[in-house]
Amino acid sequence: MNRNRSIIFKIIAYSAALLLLVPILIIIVWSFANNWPWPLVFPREFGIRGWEYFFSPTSNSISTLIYSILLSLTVTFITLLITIPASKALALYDFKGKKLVEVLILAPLIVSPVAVAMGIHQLFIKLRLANTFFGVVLVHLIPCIPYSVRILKNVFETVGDKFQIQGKVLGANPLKNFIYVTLPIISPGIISAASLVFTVSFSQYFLTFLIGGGKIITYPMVMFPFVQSGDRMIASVYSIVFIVASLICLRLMDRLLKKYYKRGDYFYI
Amino acid sequence: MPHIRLENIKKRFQDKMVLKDVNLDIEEGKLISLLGPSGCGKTTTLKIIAGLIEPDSGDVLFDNSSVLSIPVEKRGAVIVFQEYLLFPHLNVYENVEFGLKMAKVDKRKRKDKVEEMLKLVQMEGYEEKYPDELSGGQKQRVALARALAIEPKVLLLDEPFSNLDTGLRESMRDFVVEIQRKLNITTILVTHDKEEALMMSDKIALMLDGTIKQYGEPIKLYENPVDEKVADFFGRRNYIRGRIEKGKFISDLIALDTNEKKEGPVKAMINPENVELVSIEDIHHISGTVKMRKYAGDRVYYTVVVNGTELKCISKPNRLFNVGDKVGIKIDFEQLVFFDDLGV
Repeated sequence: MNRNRSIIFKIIAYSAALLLLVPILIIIVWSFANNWPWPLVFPREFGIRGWEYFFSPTSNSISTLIYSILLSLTVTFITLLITIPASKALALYDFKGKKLVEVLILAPLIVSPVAVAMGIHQLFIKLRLANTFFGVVLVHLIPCIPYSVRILKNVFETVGDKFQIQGKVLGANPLKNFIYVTLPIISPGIISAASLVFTVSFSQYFLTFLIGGGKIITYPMVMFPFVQSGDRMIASVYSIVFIVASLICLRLMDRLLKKYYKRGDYFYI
Repeated sequence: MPHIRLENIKKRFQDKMVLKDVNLDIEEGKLISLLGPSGCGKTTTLKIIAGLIEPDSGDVLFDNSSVLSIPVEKRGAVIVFQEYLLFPHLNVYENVEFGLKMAKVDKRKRKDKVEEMLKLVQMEGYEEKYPDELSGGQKQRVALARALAIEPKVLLLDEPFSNLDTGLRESMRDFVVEIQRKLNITTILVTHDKEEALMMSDKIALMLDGTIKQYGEPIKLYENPVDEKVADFFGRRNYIRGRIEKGKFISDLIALDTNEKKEGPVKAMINPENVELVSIEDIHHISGTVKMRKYAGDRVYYTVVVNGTELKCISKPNRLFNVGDKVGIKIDFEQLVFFDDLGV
């Protein structure tokens, strides 16, 4: 019985890993394949044209990548700034209209922001936010906030406010309590939320395209034409860099927060 | 160490009157217990003293001046909670240091104080450990050190021992009492455990349904409870119905002289430990039949029936009687307490 179970478990685990790995392996191979017609199992010809293009100064890939990362980090930072207090309020306090606020915050998960993007665009043009860095950051907040609130609200609900109360009776004023007690205790949640928000922002295409109006160029925007036009070699190179860059950023954020709060992995998450 | 007074404290949560009218006077340097079943309002009272909850009316006074307008973080009433609540991201040293750091004590003084506190609770050498590496008893000691480090005006303990194993619980009780005596710090202990309250406190305030039913020394509460509810809280008692007429208590079981001033129908309370079972040959005593026996090692619980009245009895196990045995019953009538018989 037990053995059967472990075999089934292994099969599921390996197939899941395989399903995730195979596409990645394929794009790694594609990034070096000059010529890979169907139905050959291996490419007919290998080359590094894709990588050469990516690293060539004319393609601007690296500067776009850095710009894109900075934009997403800004979005992540602002999202956290808004959602930490908001989640705390939603999780721990009772106030009038709490349900409504919750529904409104989570609405972008149900109704895609793309559906209302045109209205936002009109408004942003009037407010002179269209085609600006800040405008794009703002519009990215819409899909990012609900994810962050969902995670952090959960964390606050699990942790409760007992540590804050303990901090209070030990003499911590509200600000110190927040810095020395609340933040470190929810730091595992912050890491999860930040990772997710970063990824959501980093992969935005349509909203950036519309609000940025072609002036704000992010990484997915330079990548997309290659995917669409069928230059699979270059598209694969971009995809690999996309994956590696996100992983590095997530890892760095994780390290940074953990280093700041020494022990971030003690409980609850 | 201040003298703490609660005056006419009332608190309502939604529809429920949690505290009806709480008055309490705590002398400085004493350890008192707020004893009562869960939901009686004892933790609410504690939180009101600490400032975590505001009373609807009434006043909290430290040394005769109201502290209601002083916020929690400046009031100097520290609670040690049941779950210890050591900050998981800080090690033992940093946990104890926390309150001092919040109070902006300079670093060198903080170090001295933390060391002094860790020595007091016998946790030297654990400075670098994190809370998840400590046992329950150790966490408790650190929590205590952390609370005491800021030299609070009053130490509030909220069910501090209920998460500990029996053996450890007893040694921690002694330990806390020892520290309390050493520092002479005014301490309020919230507990639902009557034994804990009886053994640890200078005085007990028994709370039932949002009021303090009786406040006094442990012996007083146990031996002279003000009413049946208080009496029953401290354990199983026997009540004999009867009446007092002209200085004489008359019941089915016994008639005897008493100097009780009450007249009319009464219930006489007899503690089970004052009922002794003896051999039936001893004819000077009332006789009865053993109905039930529960053996608990160091003592034995009996229920005996005398003229249709059931009596509970706790005796030593040196002589065992069996169910159905005819026995003689010796009652220590010196210890009788009379309550008005309300017919229930």
